[in-house]
Amino acid sequence: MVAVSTYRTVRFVVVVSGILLLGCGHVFSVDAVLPYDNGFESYDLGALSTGGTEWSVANGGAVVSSSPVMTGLGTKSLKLTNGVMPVALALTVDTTGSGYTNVWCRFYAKPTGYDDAGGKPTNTADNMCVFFVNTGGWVKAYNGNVWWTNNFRLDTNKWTGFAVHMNYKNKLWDLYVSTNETFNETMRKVNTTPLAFCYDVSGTKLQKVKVTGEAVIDGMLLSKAFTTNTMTQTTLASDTRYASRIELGTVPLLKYTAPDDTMAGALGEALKAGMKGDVGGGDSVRIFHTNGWNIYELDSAMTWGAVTGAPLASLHLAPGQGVLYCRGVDTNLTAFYEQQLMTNLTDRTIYGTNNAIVRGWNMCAWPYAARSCNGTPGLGFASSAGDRIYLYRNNQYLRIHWDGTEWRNGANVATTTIQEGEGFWYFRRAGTPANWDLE
Amino acid sequence: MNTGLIEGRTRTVAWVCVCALMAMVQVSTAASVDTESDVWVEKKSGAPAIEYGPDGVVTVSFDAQSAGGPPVFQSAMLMANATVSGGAFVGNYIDGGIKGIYLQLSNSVPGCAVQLVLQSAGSGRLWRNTNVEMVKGNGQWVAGTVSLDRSAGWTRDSGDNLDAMWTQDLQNVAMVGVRVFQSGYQAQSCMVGQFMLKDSIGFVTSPANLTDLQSLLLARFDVAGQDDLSAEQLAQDVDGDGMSDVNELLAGTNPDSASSVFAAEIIEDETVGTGITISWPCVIGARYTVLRCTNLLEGMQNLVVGLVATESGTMTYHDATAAGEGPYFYRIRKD
Repeated sequence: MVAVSTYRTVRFVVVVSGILLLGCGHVFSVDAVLPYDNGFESYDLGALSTGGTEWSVANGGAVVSSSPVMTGLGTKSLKLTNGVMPVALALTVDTTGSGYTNVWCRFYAKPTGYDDAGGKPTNTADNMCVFFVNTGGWVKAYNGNVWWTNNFRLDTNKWTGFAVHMNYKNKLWDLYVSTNETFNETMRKVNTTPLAFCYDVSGTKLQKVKVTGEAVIDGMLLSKAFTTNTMTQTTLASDTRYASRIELGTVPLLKYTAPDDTMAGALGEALKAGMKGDVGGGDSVRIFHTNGWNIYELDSAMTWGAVTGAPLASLHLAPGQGVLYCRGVDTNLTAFYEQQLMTNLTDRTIYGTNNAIVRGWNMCAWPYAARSCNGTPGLGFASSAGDRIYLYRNNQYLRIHWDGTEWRNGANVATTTIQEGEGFWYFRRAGTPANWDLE
Repeated sequence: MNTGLIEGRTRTVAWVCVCALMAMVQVSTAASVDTESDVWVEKKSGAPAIEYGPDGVVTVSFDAQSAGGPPVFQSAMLMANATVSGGAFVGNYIDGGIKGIYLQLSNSVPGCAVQLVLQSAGSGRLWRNTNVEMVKGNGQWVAGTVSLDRSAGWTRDSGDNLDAMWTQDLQNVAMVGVRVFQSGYQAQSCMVGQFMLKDSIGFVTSPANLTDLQSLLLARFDVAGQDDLSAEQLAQDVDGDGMSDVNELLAGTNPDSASSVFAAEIIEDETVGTGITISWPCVIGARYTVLRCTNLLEGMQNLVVGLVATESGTMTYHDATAAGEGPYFYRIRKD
């Protein structure tokens, strides 16, 4: 069982297994500051020592363990077991700060099925979002009125990723899962309509996350989000925004309509995920468009400012556009984006010139499922000899070029596969622009 | 105006510094400089080189980008004394009477893009002013004061009432500084000589609007207009060559070198036949008028007007009409 709750005005309960516990009278040493990411790697193996941590344990039974662990999340996890039932693990969140309207909570768990005939979680005031997994593997969530059951079953012997999106603006929440035991993989929404907050909260900040019952959890992550849209897509993508790094990625693979397709619109709000503001200019996105730089950075108030290039509301962005995500010295953060299947995209202009000063560079991103550069139907470029693609992988460029017939890596035929959402530079050598046929 | 007479043989040459330039200077209000940044906190993107000279000049340089690889955005943020807690660059600018930011820049050709930035501690909002970008590429030192009036170009990209935000943010400033970034792909550099807060406005304009004379006056006296010079400043003659620093700036000579002075002399030139040849130091592009009289009590008359110096150095004029016994008195005026 997992329970996540908050102070009176905001409470969120997630039940993975076992019995719900709503007691909240614990003393916590440290508050978790958003964004928060804890895979329990820094804790000593054995009984969880809560002193100096953000956690509180009721009835004991929380044990830092080396087995099982979720692949990709280090070598430790946290077991809730063997205590005097029910075991409750609570994380208190620092609610200071502002500028965000949404919160994401994601973790991976191996839940023990809970018999919903034996005292299922009670929808108590103060609980904002509640869900649990029953013995049949069905996820059940409270939608503010009744217990809602999803339409597929989880394998409780496997790690399942759970992500809860709490939209404080609209007082709605969504639940996503991933079932392939792959860290950071795309998740899918399991509720068919947005769930109402269980309690009619007036607050805007998550205050407590509570996990209750018998389960193994790993990778507890809480992050801020800024888009105020009600999520309409069923696919959830996540990306790690690495500290002190520059990553070449894509704009969110979602078809925004003007004016939401600008940095001043919903797209700009979505791009704040996983980024931080700072004194002197914080994290930035850099977009090379029509042969020029457009630089937007976050100030400490988490608002975008145009350093150079087009004003925020003037640059319209669409899937196919690459973005450099530039993060400063900080910790790695995770960004969540709703994503849709890309079809019928508008072709992009690919600029070309032989002039070495005004070069034909284009910042692109692959909007479709992973595709081999020399596969069928190809990448959609009407390439001419000398055109080049630069993929940015592992902090260095991987260069392939068009020899007039096929893409090559040096002298060899390239076997490179471009991943969905992967950004790249395209250099068009010819002196005139062409269309990138996004098919 | 500074005027003097030199007599040579039976003929006399007069030299003078000119008052015509004075009419070009329209700015008033002397300003005092409160604090100069001596500690820059850097924030770099890409690989700019930042060097600090012994005279306090900080130079930001960008190498030319290779034509063979993808473009790279490069920038350097220089934050004034940002690590000095409670220093003069943070806090309440309105209560402190801070009215402007004075900066001295020299930009390469082609030039970097330059903007001023200011961030509030309370709201976290970051403001920028791109008016200083107009100095791009002039290759010379320019200086000026950018007003902290929002209409002087301070802006940000979000918010409904920017004026109210700006007023609020000026009361709790966390950081002020200069951002320099590479414009295009060629090698560029930008030097920041001085960066200071001013407690009153010298003038409300961007440095790019400064005339050369305004820049020189600001650099030497911290005022942009001759009307703002004190009596002491007007009389100052650092190199002791007999010509005040102000007049040397007007004439285009070096006020720190006694051998550089705006003085005319007669040249003996046997090759040009009868007449008198006069020479004087000149500045490229400047226009000069030669005046003459034979009796000082009758006043000077224009002999030739608007001689344009095609290069800096020495300019000469041969008065072939001075064939009589004289005496002849000459005055050279820089227009």
